[in-house]
Amino acid sequence: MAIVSPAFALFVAAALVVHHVLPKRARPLWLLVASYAFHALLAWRFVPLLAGVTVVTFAIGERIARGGTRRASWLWTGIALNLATLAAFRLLYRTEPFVAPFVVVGLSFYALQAVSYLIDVFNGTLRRRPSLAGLALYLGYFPKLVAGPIERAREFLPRLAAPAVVDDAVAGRAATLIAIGVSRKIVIADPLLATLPAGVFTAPGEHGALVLAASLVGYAFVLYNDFAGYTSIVRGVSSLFGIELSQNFAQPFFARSFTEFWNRWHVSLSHWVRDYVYLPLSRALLRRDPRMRNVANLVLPPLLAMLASAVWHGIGLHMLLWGALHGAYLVGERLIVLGRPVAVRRRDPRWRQVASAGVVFTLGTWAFAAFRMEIDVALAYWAGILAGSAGAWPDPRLLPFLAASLWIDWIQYRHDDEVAFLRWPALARAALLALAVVLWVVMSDRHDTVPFIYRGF
Amino acid sequence: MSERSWHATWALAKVPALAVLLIAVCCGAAELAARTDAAARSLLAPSLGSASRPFEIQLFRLERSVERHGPPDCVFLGSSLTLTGLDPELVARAFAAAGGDEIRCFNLSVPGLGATDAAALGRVVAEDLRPWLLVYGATALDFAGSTKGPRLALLPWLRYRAGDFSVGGWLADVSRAYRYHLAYRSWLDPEARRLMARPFPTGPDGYYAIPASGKPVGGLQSPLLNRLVGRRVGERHIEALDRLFSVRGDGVEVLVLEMPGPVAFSSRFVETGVYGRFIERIGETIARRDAPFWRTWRELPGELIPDTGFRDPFHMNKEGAALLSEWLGTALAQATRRGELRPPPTAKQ
Repeated sequence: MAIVSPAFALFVAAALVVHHVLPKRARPLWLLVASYAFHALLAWRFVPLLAGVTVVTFAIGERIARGGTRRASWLWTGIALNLATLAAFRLLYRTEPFVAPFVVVGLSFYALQAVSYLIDVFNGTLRRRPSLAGLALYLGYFPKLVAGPIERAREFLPRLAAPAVVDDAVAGRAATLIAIGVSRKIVIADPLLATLPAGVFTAPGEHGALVLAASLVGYAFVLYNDFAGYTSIVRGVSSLFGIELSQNFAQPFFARSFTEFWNRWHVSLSHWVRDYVYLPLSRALLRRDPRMRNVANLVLPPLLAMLASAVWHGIGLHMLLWGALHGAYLVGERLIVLGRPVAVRRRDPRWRQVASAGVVFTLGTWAFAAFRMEIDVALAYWAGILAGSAGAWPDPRLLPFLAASLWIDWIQYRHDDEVAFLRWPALARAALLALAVVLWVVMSDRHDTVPFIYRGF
Repeated sequence: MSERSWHATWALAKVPALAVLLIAVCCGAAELAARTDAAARSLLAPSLGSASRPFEIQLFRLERSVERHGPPDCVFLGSSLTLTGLDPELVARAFAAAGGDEIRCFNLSVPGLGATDAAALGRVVAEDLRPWLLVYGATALDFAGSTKGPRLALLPWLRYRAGDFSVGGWLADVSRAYRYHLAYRSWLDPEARRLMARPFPTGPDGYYAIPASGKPVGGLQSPLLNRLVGRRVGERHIEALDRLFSVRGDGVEVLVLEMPGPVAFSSRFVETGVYGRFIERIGETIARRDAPFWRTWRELPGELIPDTGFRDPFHMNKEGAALLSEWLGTALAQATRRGELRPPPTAKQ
């Protein structure tokens, strides 16, 4: 069942009607049943895995909560078990993430959430520990099951326990998020991917530098709109149940630094990595040597955090290279600002902000070659851009899709509101919705919808 | 505390309702624009979603012809052999010259059209236009088990017309704007765009004229000759022929015409058992339906269509097509006089 499909729409509609008809106490149980049914519809044979991870995590959480001298041992056991399960299944069902979805639905996402739960129990940051059913819903909640957002236990469990009332404002916001998400996927990401030359990411030597550069830019926008589109849809769907999911993307191509980029791109993962890898490591190093200018303090936390993020995305040298590049970007950024007063980027002159965003986008897009391709192909790709002949002009049909993506981002960025379209007059909103619906029909009729890329991880 | 978790009101429906209204207005405007001459002149031929642009172009030519002149009296169906072998204007002229009424014909043949597709298309033409006569220009290859053709019978539109409802089929049937959308939906795919832009120079009456070179046909060793060897008559094609004849119940005459080949070729091909087995089986089916089947290859005098009238062992050039068309027009007039075919119900001016 694809997220953008009539089957999913029917599933959500049925789940929604029952959810709002049921008495309040029965709703969490219903959501749990619906979530497991959804998982079973996608891949029934991995339902026991989700249940197993849930039961083991719950049991270990209870042991940690009981206190005693072995709390830390239980925590590390729980973390190791979850990460080992993830690694084992990633190796066992190794697939090409850009070609086919990872068959073990959602494991990459709910394993990290299980770790988050255990750490929050250990740190005592949970206001109230959930029951087994509550934990099962936290890990298996269907809107975020397939590809996140990766919710932290201490923030998400209270939302699950007390869902918001769905009034006109919430429903309007939810519908707008869904419409934006479907548009990003069907009107921008899928057709943009279709405009990229066949084989450009497998045989870059057959293309000139201009086409290679344009294709990499196009791919950055495909990846962004595909994943941001997915997230927007599932956040909208979840809002209709009264449960807010975290924002995962916030106009990342407008980021003026890499620190800002990682606060705008796949935010739920980067914050997870920040909170559970970067900050603990940083604190540990500072305890060892509190000097800010110490090389290890400067280099290791960002580098290892980005390598952890890379390993989560895939087991391969090319992913490590991608992570290392981003780690190096972050280290470089820290070196540049070392010793200077903290600058507020928004107060910089406009030209400097645009230039900074251009540099971040260029370097980030450059790194995407390693994210998308095996290491030898990525190296050939970069060589083709730097040393190859200019070759033919890129396909100009890329431009309207890039413009559409930037236009949506600009509207959201300018108002600092992802549903800024709701501020428009009703007729303008209706016209935009009508245009979107027509484009959905036209674009989805043109080809089969491509599976969401992040289902591949 | 209230148990209710859903407090959204119908006020939310205002924007979607307005959007639906706008879409309806835009679709109406697009439909009106799509039906103008300007659209027909400046856009690609609208599509029914098939992979065969020649089919789309031929069908659109027929529609344009009907809009301008009304339904034709006589429609030719078949593969590229019929497309290049029957000139509608010359058939009509010969029919009138031999004492028949003034009629107007259209050649709706499409390269690669097998018997199943011809039958499906013939049924739609008969239902929509009620012509006096459908001439199916048949070749043995049309009935070969796995003929590679456009497979039009699988089109949602043709399936819809056969009673298998689908939204896409229905839209293709009623909306010209939707058909333009189908034509342009592949614009992102350069290969599809290249195929779509390739010219298919049939005339307004659907005939595809191949210039005559004056030289006798060559290429008798063409691999086409061997296509029938080892093949069987496809049962689905024979069943399709049955379905084609069912339109006679609606008052439409159906004639199957064996498309002729060059004399030099016939001794090598027609006389072999392979071809004979195909054509006899087709003949039996047609005879069971008590319908006319005009054999030409063996029965036409060799001098009627000399070998210079062919471009290759299968396709006639303009010279050969003129001779066959004149012969067919005359033969049709004679058949109506003899009572073998019902005469055209109304003479068209």
